[in-house]
Amino acid sequence: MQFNSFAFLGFFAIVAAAYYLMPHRWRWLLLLGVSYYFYSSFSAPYLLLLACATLVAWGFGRAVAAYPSRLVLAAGIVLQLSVLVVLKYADFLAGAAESALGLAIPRDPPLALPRLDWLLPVGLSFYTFSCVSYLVDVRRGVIAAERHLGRLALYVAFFPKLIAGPIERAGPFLAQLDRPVRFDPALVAFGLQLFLWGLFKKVVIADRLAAFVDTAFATPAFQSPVNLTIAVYFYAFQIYCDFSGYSDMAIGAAAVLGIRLMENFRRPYLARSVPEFWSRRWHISLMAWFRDYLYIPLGGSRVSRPRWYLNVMTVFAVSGLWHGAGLGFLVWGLLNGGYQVVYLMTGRLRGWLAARLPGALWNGLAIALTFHLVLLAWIFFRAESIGQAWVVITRLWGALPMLPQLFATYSWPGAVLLSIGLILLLIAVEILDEVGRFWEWLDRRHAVLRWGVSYALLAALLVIGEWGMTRFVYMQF
Amino acid sequence: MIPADSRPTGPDTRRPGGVLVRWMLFLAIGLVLYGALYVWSERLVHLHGQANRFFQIAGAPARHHHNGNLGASHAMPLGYGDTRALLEAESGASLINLSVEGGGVLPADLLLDYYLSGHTADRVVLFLDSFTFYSDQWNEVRLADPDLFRRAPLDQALAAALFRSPAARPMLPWYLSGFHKINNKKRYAPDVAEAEARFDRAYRPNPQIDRRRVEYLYPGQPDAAVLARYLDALGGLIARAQSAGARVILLKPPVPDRYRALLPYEDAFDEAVASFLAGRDVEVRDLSRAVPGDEFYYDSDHLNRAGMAAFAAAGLVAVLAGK
Repeated sequence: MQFNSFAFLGFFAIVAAAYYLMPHRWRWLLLLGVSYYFYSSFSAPYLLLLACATLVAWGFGRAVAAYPSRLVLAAGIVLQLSVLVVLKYADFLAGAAESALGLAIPRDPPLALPRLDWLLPVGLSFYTFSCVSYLVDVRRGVIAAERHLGRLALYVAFFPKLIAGPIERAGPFLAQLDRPVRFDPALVAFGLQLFLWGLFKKVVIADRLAAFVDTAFATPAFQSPVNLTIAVYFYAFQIYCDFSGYSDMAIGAAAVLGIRLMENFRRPYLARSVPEFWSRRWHISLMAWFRDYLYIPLGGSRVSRPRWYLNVMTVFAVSGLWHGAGLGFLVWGLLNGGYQVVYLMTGRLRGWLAARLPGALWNGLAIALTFHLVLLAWIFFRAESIGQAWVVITRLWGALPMLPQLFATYSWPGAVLLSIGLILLLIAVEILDEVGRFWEWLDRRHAVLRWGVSYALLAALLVIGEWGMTRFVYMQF
Repeated sequence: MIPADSRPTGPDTRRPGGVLVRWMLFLAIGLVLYGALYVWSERLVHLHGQANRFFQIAGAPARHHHNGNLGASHAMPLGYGDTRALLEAESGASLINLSVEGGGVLPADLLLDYYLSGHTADRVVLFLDSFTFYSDQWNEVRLADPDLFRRAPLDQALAAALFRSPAARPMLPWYLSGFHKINNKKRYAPDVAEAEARFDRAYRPNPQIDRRRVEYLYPGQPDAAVLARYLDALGGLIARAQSAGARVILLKPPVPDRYRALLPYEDAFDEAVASFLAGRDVEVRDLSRAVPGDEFYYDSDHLNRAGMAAFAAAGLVAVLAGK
């Protein structure tokens, strides 16, 4: 049951109605029940894994509170992560070991290690990280261990965030369960509008771009340089609209139920540097998780410079592998880590340049450079393999001098023009929001304008939406 | 409209009744706008509709045809180019071609039910393709394909037919809501089968393409229960046609020898059909060997223009003429 399905819309309407009709003390039970039902629509057998992860978090949370030793905490974290590691990385590691052993000790037939060949449970990485953050926060004394198993189970399984985040912290979430939620029309309207905007980004923009991107990345060697260039740019907006669209829908759905989830995206392609992109604008909940539970424990920036750089690279390497068991994800992570290290090493040069260039020009250049660095890394994220990513890059590099000429003679199909128009609309909205809080400005305008925007989004969903039940990109992580 | 990083300015302190009125007003205006989109989409269906079978039934000027033709893609060339007019001239009998690509017995039954709600036919000719009896891909799944209904005009009789068909009933809310029409990406495109553009070509046999085609048509292993289910549905279709006074003819369409040799369950299927039809007043015409040469096909198994002419001479005209 995807967010972008009519089944979910019906399910959510029923859940919301039942939620507000039910007394506060039973609402957690309703939300827990419907969350498990929601998850079972993806993979019923893996409900067991979700329940086990919750039990481990609850049990070890109590144990850590009673015996706050590192050993107990480590045992809990290892147990949580072991399922993730085995299910997500066992086959990848077996393949890597085969390759390494095959090179070291050639034999015929080649060595074939056993594989699990299990489907990765949807949302596993997300709820595992939620459980780990809960255990660490209990150990650090940030929150008290939750006594009520059902409430903790709801924190882990709350359906809007279960599949692809945001990776909410237990403290703020559990605190909200204590407060009786009264039907607040403003908050419900906010939630519905945010859901609508997320749905628009997913169904109208992301899935439209996906068709073009998938075709181009399926056979990059046979694509024209113009198609390949368009596909690379389209992918940057596809993944943004896909994932931020999901996050908006998750936060919006939770808001309708009176529960606030943390922000996950903040106009990322307007970042002026790669560190700003990662720390404050893209997948904020994940990067905050890595900051709090990996980067700072490693020493963060309060260490020698080489060690600092190593910490940054470690965080991004792990982040890459968190996204998927593949060399492409690792390269993507290392590339982003490398950008950060270079950024840290070039502080003086940047300061010198910033002092000599007009502010607007400097900002514009910084945004364009950051966007294109991120764009380059996305190629490794999207390609099926390192080799395929390399094909894309070398073909684009080779055709670079001819691109203006090739673009001038390109036929520009209507579908491509529509996609570009939608991307420009998105960029315009984000720029307006960055400089003038567009959405809040709009919220203060007359109902004719506010409602008009909502009707326009709904009409776009109906008339040009791609309702093919496409999965969300981040669900696979 | 507020982004994720914003917060509502505070709890809404307005009277609940006022909020309810605003929300109802928003909903009412939304419904009016939806209605406008619906009317616009319906108008486009009537402007650009042509080959959609539901559209053809609703727009058929004649209330009676000598032949109502049902089946999957092997029957579709009957409607390509001027073929239908030629066949009508040669047989002296009118024809409405209601075949749909990948359409098994369940889609055929739905089309027949809708057709008979406003029309009559002397003969119902069902092109019998074994693959359509071995997979839900060509039946229940095909009925759930929005493309089938994107250009189906709003008609009470079609809604009733959808309701009567258990397999097609899930599509009824979609059909009534007009969603697939409003969301039709090809709303301005000509309503013609893509294959029609290849009608004059001749196929150069390619074993790999042939094999892939057969694998596509026969996914999975044969299942006796599935076959029995669709034979039952065939029985329902026959009964429906006969109760409307039509003679039923099951016609095995021509396929090239090379292709027929690849079909996995043809003999078993023929036996099952013969056994099922025993005692039923149904005529079976096997013309599957009537046009054996590859030059008569525009792809692995669909007749081209020359193939249709050969098929007509080999027996199709006689069938259509009621002989």
